[in-house]
Amino acid sequence: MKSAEESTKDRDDTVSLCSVRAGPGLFGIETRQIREVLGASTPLRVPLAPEYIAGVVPYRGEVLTTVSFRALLGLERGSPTGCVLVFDDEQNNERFGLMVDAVGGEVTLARNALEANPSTLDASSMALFDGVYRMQPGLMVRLDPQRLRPSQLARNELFGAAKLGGGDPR
Amino acid sequence: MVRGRWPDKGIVDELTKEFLAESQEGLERMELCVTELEKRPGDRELVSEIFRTVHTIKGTTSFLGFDRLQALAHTGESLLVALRDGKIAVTSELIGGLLDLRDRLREILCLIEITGTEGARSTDDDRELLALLARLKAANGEPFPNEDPAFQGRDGVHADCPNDLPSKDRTLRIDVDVLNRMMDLVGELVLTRNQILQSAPGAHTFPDLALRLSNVTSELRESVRQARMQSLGHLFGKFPRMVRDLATACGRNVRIEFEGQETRLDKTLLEAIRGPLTHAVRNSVDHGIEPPETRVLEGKPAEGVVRLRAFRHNGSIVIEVIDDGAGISTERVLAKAIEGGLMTPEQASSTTEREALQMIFVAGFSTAKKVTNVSGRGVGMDVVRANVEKVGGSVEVESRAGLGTTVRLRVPLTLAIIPALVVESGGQSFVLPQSSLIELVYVPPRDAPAAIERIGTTELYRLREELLPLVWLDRLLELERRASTEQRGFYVAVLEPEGLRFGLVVDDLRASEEIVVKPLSGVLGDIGLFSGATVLGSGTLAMILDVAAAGARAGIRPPANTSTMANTEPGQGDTARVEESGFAAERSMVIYESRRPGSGQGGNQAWIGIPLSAVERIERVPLSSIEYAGGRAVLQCGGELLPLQDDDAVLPDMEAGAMVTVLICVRPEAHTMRRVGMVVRRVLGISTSTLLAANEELYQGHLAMVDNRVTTVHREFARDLRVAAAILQEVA
Repeated sequence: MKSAEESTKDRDDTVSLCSVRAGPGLFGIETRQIREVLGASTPLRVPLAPEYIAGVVPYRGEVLTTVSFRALLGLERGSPTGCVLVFDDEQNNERFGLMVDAVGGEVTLARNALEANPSTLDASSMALFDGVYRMQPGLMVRLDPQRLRPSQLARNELFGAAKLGGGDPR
Repeated sequence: MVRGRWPDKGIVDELTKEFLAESQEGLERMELCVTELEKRPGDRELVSEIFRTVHTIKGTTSFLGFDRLQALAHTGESLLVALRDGKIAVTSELIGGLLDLRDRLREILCLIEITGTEGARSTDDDRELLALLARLKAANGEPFPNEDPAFQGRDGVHADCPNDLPSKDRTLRIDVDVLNRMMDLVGELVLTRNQILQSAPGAHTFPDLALRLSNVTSELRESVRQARMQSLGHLFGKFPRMVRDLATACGRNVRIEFEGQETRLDKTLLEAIRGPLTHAVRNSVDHGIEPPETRVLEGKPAEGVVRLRAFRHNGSIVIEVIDDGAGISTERVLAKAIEGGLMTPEQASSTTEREALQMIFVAGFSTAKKVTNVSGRGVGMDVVRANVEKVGGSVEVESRAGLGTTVRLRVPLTLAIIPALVVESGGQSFVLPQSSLIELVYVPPRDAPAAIERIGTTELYRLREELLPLVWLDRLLELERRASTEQRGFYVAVLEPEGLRFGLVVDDLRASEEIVVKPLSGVLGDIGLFSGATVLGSGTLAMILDVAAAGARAGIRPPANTSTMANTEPGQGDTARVEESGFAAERSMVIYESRRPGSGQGGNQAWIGIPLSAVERIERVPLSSIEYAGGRAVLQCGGELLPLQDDDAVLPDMEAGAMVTVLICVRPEAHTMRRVGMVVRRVLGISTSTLLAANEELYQGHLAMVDNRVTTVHREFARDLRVAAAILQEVA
């Protein structure tokens, strides 16, 4: 049915992705990297937090820092409510959420169908995107949760450090 | 030997872990016993106790295969056998040797904990110590002289002794009964959950179930809290050794005394005050207590006393470090303050003694150059204060020149759950910890324009006789401004974190709640203005404001002249006062009218008082919002079910649609703090009352005088007063 899926041969060569939407774009995140998908949640905005932080949501007795994927893409913030994916990065002992507009279904694709980011892509997208799959209706951009960690984003000048001590309110 | 060699770093099996925990505990005890033995050389029981510890270590290590430990414990054991059998006498050299042995054993235990091995580097050589112990055993020392031990023998202090090694105490002993109780409560919780899941939405049993759930959770929380409590003896235990070593090094003659070691404190807090308390004790020995010659000249006993005293007061733990040393000379503190440019001579002349003492807490003032030479105090006192305030506590100093100094640390009972005030600013809720809240002031719309005075860009609010710098929370956090304050009025929360007083302007007050503090992740912690987040009763999240950081960010700096608490008039009008009552026979009370037959007959109203410290707030609610569950009146209040108490039978008299006045009180019960709503007919006001001595014939309870009228203290809240009266007596 889909061009990337046709080349699926055996399980080792395939990867299961969870498709998510943010704005007009379609994105995929490897399913086994996702810890949990929370339904519609409204993160509490944290004053003075970096622009890419959507806020915090309660999660299993903890306060989960949630990244706004729309803000990372440079889109308008849109609705304060969205789907939150929970990631657990055991290497860095960091747990965080990613807020997207909607979560779609699971797709199985061939590992080798991943194509590199086009070299003309802007710098901030380069830093976020892992590569592209060609799908029938359009493209699906693969995301690597590692790159979306709040502490990782904080180090990247493209997304701006926290607004410490003043600055423009908006 | 292959046994006991751990192939990988950090791999320590369960058995070894248990051995480590047990041995550490044993060594703590051993240290105490050895210092005690120095004072009472003839005490066989102490020798046996030390022997048992060393023997246990020897026994277990031979099994686990730690050669160094075994060799040391073996030699130590034979030394102790000789001591027990009276073959050798207690000398200060022997005491030193035993302490060295204890330190070395502890060092090795720490090494095992970190690396899994005993260490085999050249520095890890025990031959010298083993030789010392063998020599001590052979020496047929003279009997221990009866005069003061601290002056003899051992030179040098264990400045970097293993006492200062990071002791990561990750284990906790819990009474099995407490654990069983917790399990029972968890069972109860599960049953209640099942019932709630099975009950239809809107079922009439729901209020009952909710009440039960609320009770089970608060009991469960209480028992977990109890389990986390440790007695202060754990902390005090290391001081005899420290004081001994320090006194030897400084040429002082010091005795340490304890009081209230059985007082219990949350483990986290215990760890948090370890540093500050050590600092205070060190200061007392190092700078407070004079050299023996000076003491004798001044007519004091040559031996100085440092007393550690702990007790519970008003829901917090007070720990005092009292010494009978030289005290702090306020004149010299002030002279230094003027010299350092912190205040002008004019200001200094109008400074009270109490205010002058506060100077030692000012950062920069308390550097060695400035104060240590003068008064001998203040080294790092700002750090002590910052650390104690970090866990919601406070530090005070009292001193009388020539008579001594008292450093008083005050810490809350628990850390994780704190009383807080929920405020609103820019359409968002924020949480302020009650610990730094002094009072709340409402500025109504008509007063708003005139209430704020400006000096340059600084805005000030005139609170009674004091000018209070204002910080606008919405501006600080760059929130959207709501409707102008001229239309709505605003609230000023008077805060005093780390001794800096300022007013935080917020749009509205929401509720006073006990909140559970949740830590923030790195990125959000970096903002530096929030100490955590919490889930409010309504289920939504709210950020907890770090009050001290907010003040600092807004540019509030320590004033040259730190003023003490403003004079405390009874709260008037819209000023709700959150006040801490000290040890005084005078108490602020909320006075209300009662028409209960028996306490006031024939329309003759009686006055009843509840101590202000027990009253959280006063609410007016419509009669219709009061619900009944299991025959009891309850009120839903900030997500909590509040049982109502209607002593006066006010509710049956009320007409539909009327407003009911409810005093929200915290009732001190045996171990818990429970909230209860007292339904009252009419609140007469808040007034200072003088407690009267109990008169059994007249009334079995406490009476007080308020504005020359006899007032009954509500019987359920009189207990608090009895405790206060007892403390009052003790203080006197």
